[in-house]
Amino acid sequence: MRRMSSSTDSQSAQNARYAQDTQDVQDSRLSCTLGSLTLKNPLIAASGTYAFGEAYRSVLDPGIWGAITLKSVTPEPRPGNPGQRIRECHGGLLNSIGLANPGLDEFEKDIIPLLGDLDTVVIASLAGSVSSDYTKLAARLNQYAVINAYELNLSCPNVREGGLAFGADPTKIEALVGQVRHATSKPLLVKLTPNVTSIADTVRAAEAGGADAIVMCNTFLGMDIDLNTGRPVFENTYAGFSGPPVFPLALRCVHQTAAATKLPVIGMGGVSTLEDVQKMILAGASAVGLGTLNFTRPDAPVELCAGLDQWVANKGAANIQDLRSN
Amino acid sequence: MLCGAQGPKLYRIIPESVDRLNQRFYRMNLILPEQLSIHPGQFVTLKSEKVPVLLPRPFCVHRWDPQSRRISLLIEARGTATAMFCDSDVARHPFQILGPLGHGFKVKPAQHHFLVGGGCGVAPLHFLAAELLRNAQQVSLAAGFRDQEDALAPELITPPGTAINVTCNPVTAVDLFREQLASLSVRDDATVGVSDVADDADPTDTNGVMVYACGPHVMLKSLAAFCRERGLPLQVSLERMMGCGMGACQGCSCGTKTGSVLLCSEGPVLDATVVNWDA
Ligand SMILES: Cc1cc2nc3c(=O)[nH]c(=O)nc-3n(C[C@H](O)[C@H](O)[C@H](O)COP(=O)(O)OP(=O)(O)OC[C@H]3O[C@@H](n4cnc5c(N)ncnc54)[C@H](O)[C@@H]3O)c2cc1C
Ligand SMILES: Cc1cc2nc3c(=O)[nH]c(=O)nc-3n(C[C@H](O)[C@H](O)[C@H](O)COP(=O)(O)O)c2cc1C
Ligand code: FES
Repeated sequence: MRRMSSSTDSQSAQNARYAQDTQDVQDSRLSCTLGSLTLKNPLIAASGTYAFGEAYRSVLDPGIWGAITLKSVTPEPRPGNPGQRIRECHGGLLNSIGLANPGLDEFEKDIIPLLGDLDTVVIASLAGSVSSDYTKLAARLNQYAVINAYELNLSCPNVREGGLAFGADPTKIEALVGQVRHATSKPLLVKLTPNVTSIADTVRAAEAGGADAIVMCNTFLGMDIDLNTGRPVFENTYAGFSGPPVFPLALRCVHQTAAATKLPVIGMGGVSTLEDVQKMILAGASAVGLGTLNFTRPDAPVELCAGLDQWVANKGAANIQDLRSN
Repeated sequence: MLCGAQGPKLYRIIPESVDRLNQRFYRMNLILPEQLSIHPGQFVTLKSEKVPVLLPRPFCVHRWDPQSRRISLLIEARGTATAMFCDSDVARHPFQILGPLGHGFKVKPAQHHFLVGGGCGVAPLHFLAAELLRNAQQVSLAAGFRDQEDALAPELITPPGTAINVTCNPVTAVDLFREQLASLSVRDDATVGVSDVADDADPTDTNGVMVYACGPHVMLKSLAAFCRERGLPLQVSLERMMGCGMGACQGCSCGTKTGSVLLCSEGPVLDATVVNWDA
């Protein structure tokens, strides 16, 4: 585990010590498995909220995470959406980032060499507008051992021509996941959208296609209107809603997912407290993603890990997985 | 994007004091637990558990004293969070402070430095002026506020040793600056007090002049047009909604003539010539 250089009383130094101190117990009590992946604890940084893993290093050792999911990558660079991209709304966050990312070439050249320093499981998030984008990304990144798993982003609601079409249609999900399954032997996590009528149908389709785990869920479609102009705030009209207000919705989606499949589930959406993490696990999640919380409390995993460890101990369980409902 | 362990720090601190300056502005002072390297134009974000908003709010560093480790923020009560941060019940509790963030003003020796601020845009100029004065530079500051009641006393805006003029309209701060510039070039001795020299006097030599500004878009745009015309180098500090403040969310992107930049990490200070003023 990487140690902070500072010997002062800074939060980051405290984090580092805390992380170090809790490392051993985490290893035993908090470790969890997602198919063939073993995580030191169930906390996963959600895609798009952690850049490529390094952004918060000065305030939090990235090695504290069970896994870090990188920002979604597409084969070609994407500048992202014009105009306003984020807005706080009703205690949550609307975003219309538009999958801004440097594209596969730059990702390979500039990002992959840095991933080895993260000291945690690294999940690359793949996104695209046609199914061959996903297979192309998977095939090219197969050679990098530092990428421990793929997450297929089938659910980004921001891109007009992209994700939503795959994620909303069980037939397309199954076909796409099947194609990527053939292109890689890395663990395949499939991230689904909550913006569908039947969660169970999309989850079963991902399972049928060969997913190793289901990530539930991406952002909820929302919008906002500027009262001064009378027009939508975002150029794409609709935007993805995340943060604390979506928690009950996401918890329901995770519960429905767990009921629909025996695959491990990574639950996320609005998690901001220890209680939220516990509820996700009780709803059937093997691991829990934190997204918007990284913006509001970047060192949250320190306390959450300590709290989870205490919870497992108080329950007299040997491991956090024993507390999950099946 | 590598921040490195040397990057921004996160602390939870109860403010040392919160001083009301007038009906709209207050100054929050916090003592940081350690010495940090902070540059004029950099910012921090603040969040309080006692204030029901989600995202941390960005504020420029208004003053920074490395010896006492006191950081001061000059805050305009504008909306939910900024109205509540000065509440005594809120300010008794710790604030989460993250910083320093972003890239500030590029400070180089010059014959004369002109600082232009509108509204809460005066916030970073105190620190900038102090840094310039410490390096024995000549500094003038023009500040504009919405009205007389909002206007801050000159000594609250900038340290002694700066020639300062204050107006009750952020956009006319640009006119004040033009007057200061004209008086400088007429007197050509680089000691600036402000005279009533005609504001259209054409400076014969603008070499060695640096201009820095922060404030409302209209003010910056008008200033940028003037500086472009006169060939004056201008650095502007821009505002965007911010999510993470650390380059992680891509929320603060700002289109420029040379491609889009993340204002939190590549800004908030940009060279005015690259900004798309009409976007
Ligand atoms: C880099 C940077 C430095 C800043 N420095 C200072 C400073 O030194 N002093 C100061 O008083 N203010 C500063 N601001 C502006 C300050 O962050 C906003 O006024 C504050 O976030 C508003 O929060 P609120 O909850 O009070 O307002 P809200 O209730 O959220 O909104 C009130 C109004 O403020 C606007 N607003 C909200 N957040 C922002 C934002 N991040 N940027 C621009 N406009 C916003 C909203 O559109 C709305 O019109 C800075 C902003 C940035 C981006
Ligand atoms: C600013 C922002 C950018 C995001 N970018 C991506 C992305 O690139 N790929 C992806 O699969 N999910 C993306 N997400 C969704 C998050 O990974 C997560 O699923 C969602 O925000 C719900 O979790 P939360 O409420 O904890 O944030 C993004 C979310 C936010 C707020
Ligand atoms: S505020 Fe998140 S990238 Fe700038």
